[in-house]
Amino acid sequence: MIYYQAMQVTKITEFIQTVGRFSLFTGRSYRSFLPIPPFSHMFKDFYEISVRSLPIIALVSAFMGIIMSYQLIYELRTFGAEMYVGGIVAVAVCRELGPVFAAMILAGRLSSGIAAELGTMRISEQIDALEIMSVNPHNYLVAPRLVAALFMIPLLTVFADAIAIGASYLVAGKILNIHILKYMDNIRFYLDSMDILSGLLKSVAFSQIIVIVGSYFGYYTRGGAEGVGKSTTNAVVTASIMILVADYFLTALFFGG
Amino acid sequence: MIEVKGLYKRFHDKEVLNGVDLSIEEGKITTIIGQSGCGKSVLLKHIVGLHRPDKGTVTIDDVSLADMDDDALRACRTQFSYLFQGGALFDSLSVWENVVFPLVWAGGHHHHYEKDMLQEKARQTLELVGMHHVENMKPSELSGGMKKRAALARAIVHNPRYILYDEPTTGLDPVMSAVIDDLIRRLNTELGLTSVVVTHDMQSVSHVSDQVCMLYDGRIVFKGSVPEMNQNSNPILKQFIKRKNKGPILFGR
Repeated sequence: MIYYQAMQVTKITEFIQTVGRFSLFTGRSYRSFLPIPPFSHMFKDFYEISVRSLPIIALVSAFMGIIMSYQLIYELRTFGAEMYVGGIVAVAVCRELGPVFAAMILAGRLSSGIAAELGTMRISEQIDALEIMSVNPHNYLVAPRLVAALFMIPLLTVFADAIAIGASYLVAGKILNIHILKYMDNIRFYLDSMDILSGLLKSVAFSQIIVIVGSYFGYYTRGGAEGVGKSTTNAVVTASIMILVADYFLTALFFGG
Repeated sequence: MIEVKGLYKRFHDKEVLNGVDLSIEEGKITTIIGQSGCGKSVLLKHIVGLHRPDKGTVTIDDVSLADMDDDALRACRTQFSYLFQGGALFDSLSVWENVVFPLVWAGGHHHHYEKDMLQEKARQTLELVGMHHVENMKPSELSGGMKKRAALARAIVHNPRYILYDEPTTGLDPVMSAVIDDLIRRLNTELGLTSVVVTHDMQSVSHVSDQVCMLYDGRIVFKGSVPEMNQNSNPILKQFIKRKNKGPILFGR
């Protein structure tokens, strides 16, 4: 019993330490924005986050739009309201599904990639080498990714929203025989600027979570190849959970009143 | 001048450094020997402030590292270079980009130089360490010895005052070890660098050292020149340099 209680105390202490260390890491990363990293140094991150993420984002968003359309038409028919499918899809995608799905996919792709890269750099002493060469590792490794994610992930979210809405029309147009202009009218009627803005603001928050969590786990990697594997898994799991928690709070903030 | 006084460091329940006192003479090569895992690399990392001591001080020109804020520590580190055991070359950069990295990021700020000028500087520095036509290769395409020499080129490109070597000959064949030893000696005499070499390669110790220190049980148990080391009667030192498996040094300690 005492052993069990001691274990619980140890786990709680470790959790508090982790939260503290994560907070310090986040603070240091944002303080390290100056001097601004050169664009040539950030270009790789812009490319990695945007161009290389496009195909998977497009694929998942297209399926999301198609499936939503099928489900909604099936349910709305009960009430004779299937003509409203465009508006409902657009509101759901722009407010919630677009930002969250895109962030979840990017958490899997980017957080894991960043954690693996920084983790390998940590265990091969490349991060120590940076420090000895007077280079702030946060400025060199984390800040460029934060900047790139800040710009590119909201853009990817807009792209995901557009693909999902477009794909939903493919189904709705075929089953309900709606003209695209009527479909667009329906979307315009239901979708307002707050829906789009809230989705974009969410994607800004998610973009920072994805980079910071990946960087944190990579930066504090210990124990060789096994450690890199653990950091990668922890980064994806933690980023996904934090995205959902942040989504809850942001939704409550935007639409809770 | 580098002074280490009463340095203590513990990792979890293992006491690694237990009151280390050491002074590094300017312009000389100081070698730190000791068993694997005795804390040699930990000591080296304390000298550049990569580890913070539990107790004790490391001073550079009478200024304690503990009293320096991040900016002062970064400024102080511009005087140092460090050759890591595995080279620690950046995988994402080519060899020439690695070599000129300390110039491009001097003082932690990115500086713009002509690409041709940087490539020429890298080529000249690589030649100093006996490497030719590898500028455009990636570190993953180099052998272990080549990685160490490329890392050495990176370490000397910005004319540091101190250079710290962490097991520079470990994992290399005897010929390549001799090449690296010659380089360490030559850099010291030609560029006037102050060097600290951590190693357990006794041939290397005899070849490069002006001063030898032995670390055992977290303390310096011997300090002197190579002839003094060979004549010393300390049983720990004798067992270590004569490669005996019986004596006061316990296996796995």
